[in-house]
Amino acid sequence: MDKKVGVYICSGCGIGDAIDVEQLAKVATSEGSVPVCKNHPYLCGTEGAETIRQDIAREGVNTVVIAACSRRAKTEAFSYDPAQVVVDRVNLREHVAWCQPPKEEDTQMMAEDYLRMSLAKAAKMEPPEPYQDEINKGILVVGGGITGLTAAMEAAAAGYDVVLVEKEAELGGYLKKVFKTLPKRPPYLEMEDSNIGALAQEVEGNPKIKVFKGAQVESTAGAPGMFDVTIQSNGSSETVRVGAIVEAAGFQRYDASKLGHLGYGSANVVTHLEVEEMAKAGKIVRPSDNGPPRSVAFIQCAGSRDPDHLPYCSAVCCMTSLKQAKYIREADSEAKVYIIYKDIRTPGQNENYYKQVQQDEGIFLTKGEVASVQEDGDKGLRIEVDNSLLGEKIEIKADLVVLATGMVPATAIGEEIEVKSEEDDKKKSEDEPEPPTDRIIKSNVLNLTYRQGPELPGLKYGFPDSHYVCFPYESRRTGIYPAGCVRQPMDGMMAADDAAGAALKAIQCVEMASRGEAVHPRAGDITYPDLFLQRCTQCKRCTEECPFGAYDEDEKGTPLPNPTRCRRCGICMGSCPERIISFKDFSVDIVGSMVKAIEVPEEDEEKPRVVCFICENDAYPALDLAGINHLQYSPYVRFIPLRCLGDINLVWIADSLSKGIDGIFLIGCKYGDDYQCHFMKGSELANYRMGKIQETLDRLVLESERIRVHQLAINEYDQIPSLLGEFLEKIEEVGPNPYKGW
Amino acid sequence: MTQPYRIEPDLDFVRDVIRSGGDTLKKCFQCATCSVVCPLSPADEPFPRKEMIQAQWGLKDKLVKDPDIWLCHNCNDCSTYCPRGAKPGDVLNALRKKAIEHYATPKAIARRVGDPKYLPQLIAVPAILIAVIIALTNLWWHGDGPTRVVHGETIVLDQAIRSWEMIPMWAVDVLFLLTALFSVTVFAKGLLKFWKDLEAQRTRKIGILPAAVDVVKQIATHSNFKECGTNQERYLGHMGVFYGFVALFITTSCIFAGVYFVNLVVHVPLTPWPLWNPVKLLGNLGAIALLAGLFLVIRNRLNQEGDDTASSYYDWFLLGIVATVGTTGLLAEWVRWLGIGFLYYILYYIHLVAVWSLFAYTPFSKLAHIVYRTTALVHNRACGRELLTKAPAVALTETQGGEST
Repeated sequence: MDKKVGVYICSGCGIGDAIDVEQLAKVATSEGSVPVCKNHPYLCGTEGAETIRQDIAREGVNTVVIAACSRRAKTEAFSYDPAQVVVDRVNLREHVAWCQPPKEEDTQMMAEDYLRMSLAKAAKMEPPEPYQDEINKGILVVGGGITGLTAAMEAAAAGYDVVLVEKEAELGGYLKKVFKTLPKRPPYLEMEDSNIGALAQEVEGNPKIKVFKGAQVESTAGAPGMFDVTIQSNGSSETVRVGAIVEAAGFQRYDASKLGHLGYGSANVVTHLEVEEMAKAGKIVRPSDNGPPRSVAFIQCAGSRDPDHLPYCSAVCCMTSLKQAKYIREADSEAKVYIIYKDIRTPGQNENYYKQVQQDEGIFLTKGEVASVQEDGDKGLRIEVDNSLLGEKIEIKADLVVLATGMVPATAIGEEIEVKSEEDDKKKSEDEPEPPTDRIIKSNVLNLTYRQGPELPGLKYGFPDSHYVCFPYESRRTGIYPAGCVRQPMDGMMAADDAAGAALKAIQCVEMASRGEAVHPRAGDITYPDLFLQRCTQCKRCTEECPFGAYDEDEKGTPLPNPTRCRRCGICMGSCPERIISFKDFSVDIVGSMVKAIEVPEEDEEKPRVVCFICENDAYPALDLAGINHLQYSPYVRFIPLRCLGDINLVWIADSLSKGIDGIFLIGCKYGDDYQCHFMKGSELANYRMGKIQETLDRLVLESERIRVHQLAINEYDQIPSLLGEFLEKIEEVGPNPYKGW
Repeated sequence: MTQPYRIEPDLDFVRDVIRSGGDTLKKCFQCATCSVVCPLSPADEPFPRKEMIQAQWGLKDKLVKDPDIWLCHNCNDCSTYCPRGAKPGDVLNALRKKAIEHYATPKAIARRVGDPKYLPQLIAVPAILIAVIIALTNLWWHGDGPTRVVHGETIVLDQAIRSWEMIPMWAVDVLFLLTALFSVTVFAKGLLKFWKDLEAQRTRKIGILPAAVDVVKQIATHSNFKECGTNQERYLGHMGVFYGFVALFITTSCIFAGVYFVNLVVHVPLTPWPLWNPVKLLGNLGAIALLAGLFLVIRNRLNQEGDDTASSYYDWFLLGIVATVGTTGLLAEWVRWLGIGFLYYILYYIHLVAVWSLFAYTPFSKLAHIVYRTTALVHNRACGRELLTKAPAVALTETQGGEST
């Protein structure tokens, strides 16, 4: 593309008071020989914005550099056809005018550097062309319980073809086994009949839904918009093509045989499921003699919220026990029901039901710790409870003990495998830091043919969600959306809501894939990584480090990209030692050029320079917040935003140091179990890569203190001045970069 | 290791408490807000949180002997602040009823006093009893002609209205003495059992006598009522009723002693005594205090009704008797002054029926709290359990002091 650059400098919002705008324009006109450069006191206003549009339309400007406010502000005023015009924003407001003293030499230098960096970047940015392929918009739903059935109905109702796979012979899942469901309607006081049978019938009768029963997903190959799923059913295999997948594989009850300490193994100690089955069959009895239980004790959190068993809360067991207590009380008005709980947890409107059940005179609730459950001859079972609300250790006699066992997601059952490459073992012996690995459990749900493993990587308890607070339904594999109890323990009503959410995500995915756009979190981004494979050395770093398993490999280890799986984070770009992975508007070369565009003062000027690579998701808005709050920080820092800190390529460090930059500061997101990284592993990978660079520095006889990595949450913006201040003090202690002026 | 407490919930007890005004009992989810806001709760083992779960679980054996249900003076702060809409105040009230029922014998009467179904029976007993006595004494006595011998004095009948023209004074006195004796016996039995239960629960740290002195002072000043700062009207009302009864008790005792004992030495004129007589004056003032107090108590109950508390039949039973006693007594006096003989005798008859009921049913009615509450207060005082409000108050000032320095 023949570039015609237009630079537009805004002097509003206090920019003009802090910076000499005329002087700044000279950087564009004299240094950059930019053909069009204009100032405006109110660039985002109708007149200002129109000026730019006019230049694009009449003057043929196709590369626009807007030196005004943060790129997070005024996005609509400054948006143009991405296929025709490339845009870069210079943040003069939040990152310069609002956080530096006005009309100071250092402030002006900062503004000028940012403009130079932007010009360097704009010169190399190309308008992206979306990745287009033949996209199938069908949706596969794995699991025929309440979640799967609802997801199938929702997707079909929205006009999408659905394939539903259920491993059991009948649809319906867990709800098919229950006698009554929890309340589903306001005022949430009465248990209800499950309508799962009717829903299953509707699904089976829906012409847009193809149902496989007694079936299993043998393998899932491909990528969003082009998944080839082989379904094995009744001895035969069939391959279907779908665009996205809703994983509604459900849960299993925690294995009660591990709960011997709560009496499991005795004839009259059962679990919720057995009570449901008895109730459904017509009568709840003591299994030992089929007699009616006159007293029943429910033990809540049986193996749940217990570090030795399931460390988490399964959200529904309290409600199930309350419901089953009613089964027993309704059958026998003289029966006594005890519920021993850790805490009664009734999410949502279910508190109403709890209140309702509490009113029953024959239901006795107490918080307490079950110390023992023992058989008491013919007289049933004796349960000792410590620390009860009754103020002392108590002993309860019961004919029947019911253990409220928790939920284990279907994805957590199976052999755990660690994704590794052959080289990992070698690396270990060299005592190098190890890249973070994912744990994948071979749960036989999707059987992906992905290079990184056959199932979705999960959170710490085997739930395949990627981040349940920030990005519900998102998994670490694009186009595959977990929903219902496989994602998080929940009741039937919530599972149905979840199903609708995941179905919409799946629809969004196929639609965006059909337009060549990225899905969450860079929704709508039409760039994608371009690999210059002639120079690939088959090091496999990209295929291993991609948090989303976007790359497969051929036998030699050459990466096989799947653009529709890609989230456009650029972590592969950072991982590549050969620097062959680039986006049209973002590449190793572009960022390298930005680093090189920074003017580094001579050593005797005593103005050190620090390049600060920051994550654009958390650190960049944190910096904006610092600006909005007019927090002042060092004028010697130059920020370069990255799509993710995981984009960091070691060559930029070398570029910076050889340029005479005194220090390099990397700010990413929090990682670990409670990570905040939008791309899950980016920040962690950046940290890992920096662990490796220290050695390179030592070789160059440069101090390792010159490089620091920090994790910053978006709300920690107030720490920015002191963070930078401390780092600069350290740099001054270490002294100027000896490579300055080379 | 201590033996665990074997739980044997008594479902009927739960149902009874619910029926007796504790219908919100099961709403409690044990947050203990009640125990925190209660101005009378002791620092160790505070109430009413523990009573709530014990009652939910039907642990009758623990609750009936629990002194803490008697420490409550029913200000209903607990019910006001309960986040769950439970009314611990009402539950404790119902539990006190159950405790009275438990200690009072014979059970047949106890059961009947607490159940509106039996109200006609309870009224019929004194109504018939007194009617029969009136009939018999009139048959036997009116044969005397125009004169009567009362306490050895021959009286010539005139137009004046005299209670003993309907029923001889000795008959009333014999009846009421016997009734009182019955009540005292019932109380004594219950009290002994209660005291034994109290002694088994906690160890006394000081003697009964000093504790009792403290409690009497407490009762005389109604200081516990005053602790319930939210409800001044109840404090005044109860005070009125209490001192009304005290005054009436003194009056009755004076007249009784005068007629039967002083009369043996010095001549004591026959009743009715003139209004200027200090004893008579005290009696009238007592009646006014009683009725005024009663008015406040009833108004307060009606105002709070359905809000923080619901009054049960058991409450109204006692209030009804006391109100009848007070109003018929006072009205009879006025009607006598007005000289309406017919009305006077009817009122006096009702008055006698009401007073008898008060005497006879006291050990089974809410009025039994005079005995059980006093006992529980004395024992509690002797055990040295301090008020919750007093204990943290000290700690709070210390913290504040610490912060300011």
